[in-house]
Amino acid sequence: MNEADRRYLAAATQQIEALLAARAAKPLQPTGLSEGLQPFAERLDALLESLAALRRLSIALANGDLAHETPSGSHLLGPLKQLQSSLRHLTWQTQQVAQGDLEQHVDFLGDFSDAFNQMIQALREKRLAEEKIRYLSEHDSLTGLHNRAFFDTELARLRAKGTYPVSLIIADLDGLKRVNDELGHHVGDLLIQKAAQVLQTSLGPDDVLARLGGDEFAIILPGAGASQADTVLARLRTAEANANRKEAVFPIHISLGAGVASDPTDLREALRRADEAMYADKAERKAASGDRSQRR
Amino acid sequence: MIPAFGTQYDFQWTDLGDIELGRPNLGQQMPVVVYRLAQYTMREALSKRYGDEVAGDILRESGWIAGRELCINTLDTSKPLTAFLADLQSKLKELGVGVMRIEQADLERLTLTITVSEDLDCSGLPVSGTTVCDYDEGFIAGVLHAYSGQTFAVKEIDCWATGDRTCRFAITPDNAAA
Repeated sequence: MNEADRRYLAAATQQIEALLAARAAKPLQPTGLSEGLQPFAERLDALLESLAALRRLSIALANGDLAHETPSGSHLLGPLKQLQSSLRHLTWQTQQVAQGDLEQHVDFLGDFSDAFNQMIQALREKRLAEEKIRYLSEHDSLTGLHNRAFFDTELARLRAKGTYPVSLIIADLDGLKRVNDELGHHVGDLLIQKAAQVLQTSLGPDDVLARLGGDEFAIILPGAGASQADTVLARLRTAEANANRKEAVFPIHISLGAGVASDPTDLREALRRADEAMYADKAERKAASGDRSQRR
Repeated sequence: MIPAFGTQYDFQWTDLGDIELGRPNLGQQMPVVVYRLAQYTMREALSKRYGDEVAGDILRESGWIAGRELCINTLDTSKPLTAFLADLQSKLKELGVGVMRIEQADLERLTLTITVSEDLDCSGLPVSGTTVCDYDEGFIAGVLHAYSGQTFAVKEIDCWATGDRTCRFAITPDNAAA
């Protein structure tokens, strides 16, 4: 053993001590060692290099630094790099969940996988419950149409931003009180459902139909002026007649009235005009019906 | 990358045949060793005739065609990218190709880093010091091309054959090929 060998062994011992004390160590790159020691020193340097990289990666992971770049080709780093990869993927998955993707599933992190998947399942159930609550808050349970709350929200939205003119139609099912009193509420409910179907089938995909309550319905026709509203009224009349031809036992009679708003400030007034027109239609239909009875 | 297509033969999905009809007893499964035997003996034959670099290119191009065909024939390309990647992940696992994970995805720049563990091509290979997943590189580029219509450069950064336990691929738009 020469002097260079002795100095190297002392330095190597210090590096190993440093590693054992969780401090940084670095390769020694010795030269001039005796023939037996030089290859050993080179392999020890490779080991020190790997262990130093392993230490840096361990510290980075312990500190939550997933972006830490690691050298390729070291078997010693393999398991930790796999953990780093799993945590990076988990980060990505969590970002997807944050953006609303509840299809993410973890199956590579032991007990944590179960906990994560249970959390996702709970979020899915919460989302379903929220969707159900939202549906119920916006829809009428008897007809499945939108309800008054949705209609009011939609009007508010149109006041804030909408394509004008906007036409509003009020529809009222005639004689519902009499049917309820004489034939029972279950028959009245059937008539309301039938009226809802007739109204629904006559509208376009952008039109909004709501049951405001009892026998009253309202329709919003975005972007429709007076002539388009008249066309829809005519279509509703035809649908009503067709429905009554098919089902003569419990015919429905719907009074209709339309109002047109030319800008957002005119919406409330248009609704009032539609209401008035509906009552005028109801009176006219009643008078016509009386005339027909008298003629008979 | 996009391979230079020949005129002699264009792969069709139907060329894979009716496996259920043809293998009523042996079925769809076979050992990984058979796949690797085919892949690495083909690599040797190609390398001997054309050299290592061209052999790698040919494997990459065949992987590209396989990725494109798998995507067109088995995946829903109408889904948003994240949902598509989730489907791809499931498909690769179901087929035993590997466990794919996304480490990083910049959906605006279309740059991704993905890893494939238990890779069909390389996991468990002797460490040679060089990446060997040329076929996988092409495969990933082909899948993404079929999904997006864009060309991608896929480079394997880590590989079992370079001493890592997980294959890692850097994916970027291939502006040079566009």
